[in-house]
Amino acid sequence: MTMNSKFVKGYTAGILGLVISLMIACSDSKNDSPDFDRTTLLTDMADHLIVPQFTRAQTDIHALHAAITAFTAGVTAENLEAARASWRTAHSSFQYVNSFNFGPGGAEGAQRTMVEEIGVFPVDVTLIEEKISTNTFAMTDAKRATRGLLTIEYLLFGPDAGEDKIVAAYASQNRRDYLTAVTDHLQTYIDAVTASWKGSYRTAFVSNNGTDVGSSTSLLYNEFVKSYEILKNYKLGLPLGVLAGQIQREPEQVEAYYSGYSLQFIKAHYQSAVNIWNGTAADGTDHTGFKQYLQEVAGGPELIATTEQQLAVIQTALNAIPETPPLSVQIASDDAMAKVLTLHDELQKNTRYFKSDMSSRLGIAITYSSGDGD
Amino acid sequence: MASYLQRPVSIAPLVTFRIIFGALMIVSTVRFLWLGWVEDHYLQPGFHFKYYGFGWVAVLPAPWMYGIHLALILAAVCVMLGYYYRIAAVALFLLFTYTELVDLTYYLNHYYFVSLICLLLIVAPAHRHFSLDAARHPYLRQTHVPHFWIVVFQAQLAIVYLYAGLAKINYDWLIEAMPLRIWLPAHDRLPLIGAIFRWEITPYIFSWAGMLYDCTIVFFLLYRRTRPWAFVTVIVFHALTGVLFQIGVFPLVMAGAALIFFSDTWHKRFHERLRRMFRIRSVASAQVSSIAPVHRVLQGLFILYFVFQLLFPWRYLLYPGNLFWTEEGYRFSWRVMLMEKAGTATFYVKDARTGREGVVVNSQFLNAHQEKQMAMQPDMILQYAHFLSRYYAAKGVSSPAVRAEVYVTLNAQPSQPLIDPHQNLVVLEDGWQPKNWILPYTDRK
Repeated sequence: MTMNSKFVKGYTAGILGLVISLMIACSDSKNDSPDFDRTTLLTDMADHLIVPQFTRAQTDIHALHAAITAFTAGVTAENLEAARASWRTAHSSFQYVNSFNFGPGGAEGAQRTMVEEIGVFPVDVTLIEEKISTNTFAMTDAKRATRGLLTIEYLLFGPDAGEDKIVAAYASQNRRDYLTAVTDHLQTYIDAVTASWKGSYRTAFVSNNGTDVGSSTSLLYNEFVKSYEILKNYKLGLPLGVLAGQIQREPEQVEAYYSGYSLQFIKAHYQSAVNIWNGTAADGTDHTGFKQYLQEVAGGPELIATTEQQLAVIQTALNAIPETPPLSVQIASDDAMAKVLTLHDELQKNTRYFKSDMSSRLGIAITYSSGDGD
Repeated sequence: MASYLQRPVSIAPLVTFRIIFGALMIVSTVRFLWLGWVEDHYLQPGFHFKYYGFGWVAVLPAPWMYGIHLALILAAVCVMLGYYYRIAAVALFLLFTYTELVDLTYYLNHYYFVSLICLLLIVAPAHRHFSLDAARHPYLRQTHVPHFWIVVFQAQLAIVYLYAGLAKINYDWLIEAMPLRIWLPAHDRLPLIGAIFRWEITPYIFSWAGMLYDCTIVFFLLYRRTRPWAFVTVIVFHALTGVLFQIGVFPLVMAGAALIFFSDTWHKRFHERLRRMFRIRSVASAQVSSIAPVHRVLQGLFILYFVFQLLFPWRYLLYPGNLFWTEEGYRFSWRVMLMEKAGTATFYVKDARTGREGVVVNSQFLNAHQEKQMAMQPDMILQYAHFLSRYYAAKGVSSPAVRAEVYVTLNAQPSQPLIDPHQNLVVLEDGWQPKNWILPYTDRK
């Protein structure tokens, strides 16, 4: 009995001792295994991708604002042309920040995420026209399909009317005021988000370096995946008519239907995802992305290889789609739509690598009750 | 055996158990409300996953769901204080179990544990001492109970630990240190102890220590000599899991429950301390001789209960294939934090008349947690497919067939298809029989 007790006591102490010695030993900071520093990921993301991309989007939106101010002051075909060009640049820049829907771009209270506040498509044309005719310029209601970059697109590129007709429509003070109001709202929004990223949020983002829910890595990752799925489901799946319940293709549902630059923005959106994966900065230099993080974890290198293989297939599918005619026209054509469908399907094949394989390897918490958890 | 179970022992451990469990149920429910989970878990999602056989349990409108949680707090307070104890215990069991049955995706072994404890408390005479009921009704007062009532809770706890320990004796856990090799490095930023999670050896030590802890802790708690050390281990173990994993108040529940192994003297001292702290006056108690033996019928029910507890976790042996992969017989078996599993499930709805097939956007119907859980568990995949079929039929799709491409990764292995992607899931019904539409798992190691 005594022997037995001594034995079991020693046993317990042994287990306990192991744990405690590990806790004490941690004061030694030498690391035996290669480790990944999430702070590096977050710092690189903030300083080389997020902040520069927001700065660029902000600059381009300011240019758009100036061009639209010039247009509403002098409604001419020339000024319209200039505003349209500015819009194209600004919306392209926006693709490189449209997955950062957290922190200053996150939902809070009545405010929805950045992409819902200024990137909604398709816009509600009937409602926009109604607001214009009734002089309703409030940009704080829940009718988000009446503002943002794609409302500006509709107002500048109009519903399949010629340039002359659009210019003529701006004889209406209401229409000019509405365009101004939407542009002001957009500029105010991007100013606030960019300022926050350049200021206090950048520090908070880099220092919140855990992997639990609400950690920067978890936020960045979750929104990265969501954005990727929006690209596949809504920018491609919806117009292609491949979503459940759709009975036909709906080409007019593409993003940027009125300007016809849909493909350009899809390419930018996809490139933005690839940049986050690779850690490629706004200026093209290489930094730390999710790929470098995966490199250091169990099963990571294998996943990188499979993912990169599929990313190459996607890039090929993307390049195979001709620049003209506009994507909506291609989708409407029985023959031409095949290449667009291929792109959708190849993006689909990669979803699981980004979505479940990656979060599983990295041990990132997706939701509060996550994990196999108990 | 009979005399071992019927001999009178101090009621003190049972009373402590009642008080601590009630208190933790209050904390847990307040926390649940505070975090806004009533909204997130019950009210937001448009679809809820049902437990097999409990399809009739439905989520109630918002005021009801909040009302139920307030009633839960009230019931927990009453259990803690021993006030209208039996009614309170029944209410606690029914209300808590209801909140669990609303959605299968929130299943946790610990919630199941809490439900079981609530059930046991209904019949246990835990209110006969140091309670408002005993203060009001002298005839209830008892200082002793049949040993049976202590053993019941000890046995339940022993089953939880032992089965959790046995489940850890597998190749991945012990030899590969999986899934801790994935989970621990992600915590390298924890204050003080973070750095150790970067060492390669750490997951191996934690895996083995965890297994040994679960398998042996009950025995060390039973021996008087090892008990203090064992309890320190309990605290360290549950504190660590509490810091490492998002498991809410459960470390406290388990540590509190382990006190049932402590001596009468310890519990009496604990009650004295409570009396002093809350200025509770003592009331005279009845003599030992008056305690009633455990009723025959109750004895029979308990035998059935423990036979079920002992056998049900082994049902997985009746199913073919890898348990971790198929999860047939996985739940209600104390398999706690055993694997890292995640999936991506893409559903396709096909119109029988036009032949047109469309992709489902899961986020339209499920929250992130529901989608994550569903995407790796076949019975949930099946339920969701049936829901989609009903939903799209109502939307005008004629006799919708639903199939799913599901890729699942288990313990950092490359993802593989979980189920037959061509199988129309609508024609299948869930049940106890093996799901032959689950594809076999190929171990790449």
